Amino acid sequence: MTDYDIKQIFNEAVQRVGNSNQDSYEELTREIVSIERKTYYGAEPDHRRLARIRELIQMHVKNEAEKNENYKACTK
Amino acid sequence: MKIIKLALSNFRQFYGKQEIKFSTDDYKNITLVHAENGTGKTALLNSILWCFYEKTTENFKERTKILNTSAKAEGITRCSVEIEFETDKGKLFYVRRTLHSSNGNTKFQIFEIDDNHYKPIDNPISFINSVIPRDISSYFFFQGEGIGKITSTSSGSKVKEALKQILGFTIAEKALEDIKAIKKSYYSQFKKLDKKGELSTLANSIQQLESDIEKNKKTIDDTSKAINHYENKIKDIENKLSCSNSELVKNLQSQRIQIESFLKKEKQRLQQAEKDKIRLVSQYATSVFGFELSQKAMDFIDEKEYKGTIPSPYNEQLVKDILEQCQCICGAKINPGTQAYNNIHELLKSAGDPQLESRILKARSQLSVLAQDSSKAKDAIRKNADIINAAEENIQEYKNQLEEISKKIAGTESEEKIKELEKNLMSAKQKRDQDIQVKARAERDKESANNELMKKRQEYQRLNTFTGELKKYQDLINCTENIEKKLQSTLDEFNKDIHTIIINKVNKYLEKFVRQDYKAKLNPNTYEIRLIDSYNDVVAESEGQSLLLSLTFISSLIELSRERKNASGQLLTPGAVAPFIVDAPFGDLDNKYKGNIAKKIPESVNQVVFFLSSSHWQGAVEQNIREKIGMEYNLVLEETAPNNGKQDDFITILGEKYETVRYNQGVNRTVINKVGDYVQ
Repeated sequence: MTDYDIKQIFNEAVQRVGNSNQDSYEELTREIVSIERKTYYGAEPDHRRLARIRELIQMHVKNEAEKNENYKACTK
Repeated sequence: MKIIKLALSNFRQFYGKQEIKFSTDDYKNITLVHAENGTGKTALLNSILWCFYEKTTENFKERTKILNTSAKAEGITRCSVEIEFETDKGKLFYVRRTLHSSNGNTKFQIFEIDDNHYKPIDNPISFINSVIPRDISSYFFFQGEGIGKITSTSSGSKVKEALKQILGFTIAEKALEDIKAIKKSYYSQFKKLDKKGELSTLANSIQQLESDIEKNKKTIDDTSKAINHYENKIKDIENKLSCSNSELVKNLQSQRIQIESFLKKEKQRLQQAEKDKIRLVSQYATSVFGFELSQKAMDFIDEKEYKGTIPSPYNEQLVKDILEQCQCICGAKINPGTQAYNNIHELLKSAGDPQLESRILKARSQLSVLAQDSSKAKDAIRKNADIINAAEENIQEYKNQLEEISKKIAGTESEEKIKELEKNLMSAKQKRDQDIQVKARAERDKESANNELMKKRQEYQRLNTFTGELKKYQDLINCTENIEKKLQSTLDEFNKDIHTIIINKVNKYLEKFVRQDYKAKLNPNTYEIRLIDSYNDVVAESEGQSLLLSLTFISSLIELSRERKNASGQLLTPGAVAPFIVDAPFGDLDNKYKGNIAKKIPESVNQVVFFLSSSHWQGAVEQNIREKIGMEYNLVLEETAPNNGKQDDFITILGEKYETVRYNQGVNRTVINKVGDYVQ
């Protein structure tokens, strides 16, 4: 395996991490919209709406931080 | 989705249990419900909305009194509406909403019917909204009275709202609003933790700029509406002046219109000339500014040519080669120190480098072009300046003439009303011009705030090195910003072409119906839909034309919703394929328009239910839809009161007479009777 091949594999991996971040935001946005939808149509109580969205965001940030830590550990 | 059956139990004037089976035939897809005034058309439409969403239309009076009064008097405390429908995939569902009048609570249930087994749906509210979202239901279960106002002047907000709802924006916009509020709270936390304050200052600036951008957006929106309002007002007053009884005013107004058109053209000419001026400067700047220098260079080359040094008579390299090889080109030996050698050496003084000469010749050619361009530039710039001067003079002249006409109109002794109109016209024009300036300023400010915001964000990212709690809030802010971007870009993407899409649909319907060569036009700033003539001028629509425009708009919305049925992505609510159930849609339409619209609607929707009084359906409507009617009913009013000599009230359907009122009955109520071909 040449240096070039290794570089290529590394670039692809970096790209995948970038894409997975994008996808995770897409997924998170969908989940938030889903909470809004349920509240708007009366299937869930309105007073919990903002708290539930905050929980989702905090959870997402925590997971992303863990993912980044793992990634750093793997690439050391 | 098709509705199969609607059953009412003590709902409003429908005492006892009564039901309607709707036509589900693909060709004969119309269910026609005949209902004279006051018999319960609106209640019937509202029973569906109430059952599905516990909501009612604006014209549904006393909306909290759902339980039938006679039933209530008998001690009955419950009323209900039941609907059976089938989805596009052929699944059957049974929906029931029951009101318990003792506590005012309602119970909402949906069951899937599978081989006569009723399986309850866990979350009926979410389920019904996945079949037909509540926010678009008003366009399918449609209250036709007052429909003409949807697209009338100053009702752009209704059109905007309708488009957003059909595009499924409602929920995504709410999410965006919440995310912005959450982001703001994270920023506040972040500022509290940032002891140095450098980042907080930047965060403050960012928030301030975001708020400025929002304010400017609002100003642009508001002023666009105001400009449109004043333009309509101006047009209206100008029309009144053009139709004045006074010949003098009429002539002056006609002169004014002509001069205003000249003024408009002259302003366009000036604008074009100003643009040309900028172009000429960039095109000829080198020629103009380099003219003097190029002249000097040309003079220098000319002088050298005159003196015979350019082009050089001898090639420098050739002379050097002869001297180096000590041999002439004729073969004779030339030894250093001889007279011949010295003579040839002397030639070096006037010999030239051919490469250098070639460059000088090229420079000369370029200098000639510069000189020519410079002369062309002078002509073009002079011509441009003449146009600008002439346009400015003409504009001033036209403005003077307009002022003169305005004074004359305002000074007419004939009528106070005309003076008043002229005063209002001037005031509207002044206000419009002020708003145009405010709008332009807001657009500039928004642009500059956007640029500044970008710089501040970059700076913020550069300084962004924190630890602990501060980092936590920074990550939360970044996350909300990413969600915000995702939502905003989705909304922007779908909003981008909507004006063109909807107006093309409206025009597709209009060209089939409207007599004149009119088209619909949507103002992208105010969302007003107006009819325009072949000269692109806004038409002062009649009531009937407004109604026609509104009906075509609603039909276009339904079509758009159907196209969005399978919209994926889950950020925007998908559209729906649903029946079009409409109460009194034809209002002021004339017979031909009524007939055409009534014929067209069932062609573009799977299932149609018309609630019509005899004045709406007799004649053109009946002729155009008769062969497509699959079910037909008549709402009969039953009264306990005696006849008291009132005339018999009935309607005639296919040659058969049907009562619309019955007296001396046991209870006051409306009954639903099958009529027409369907009576067995």
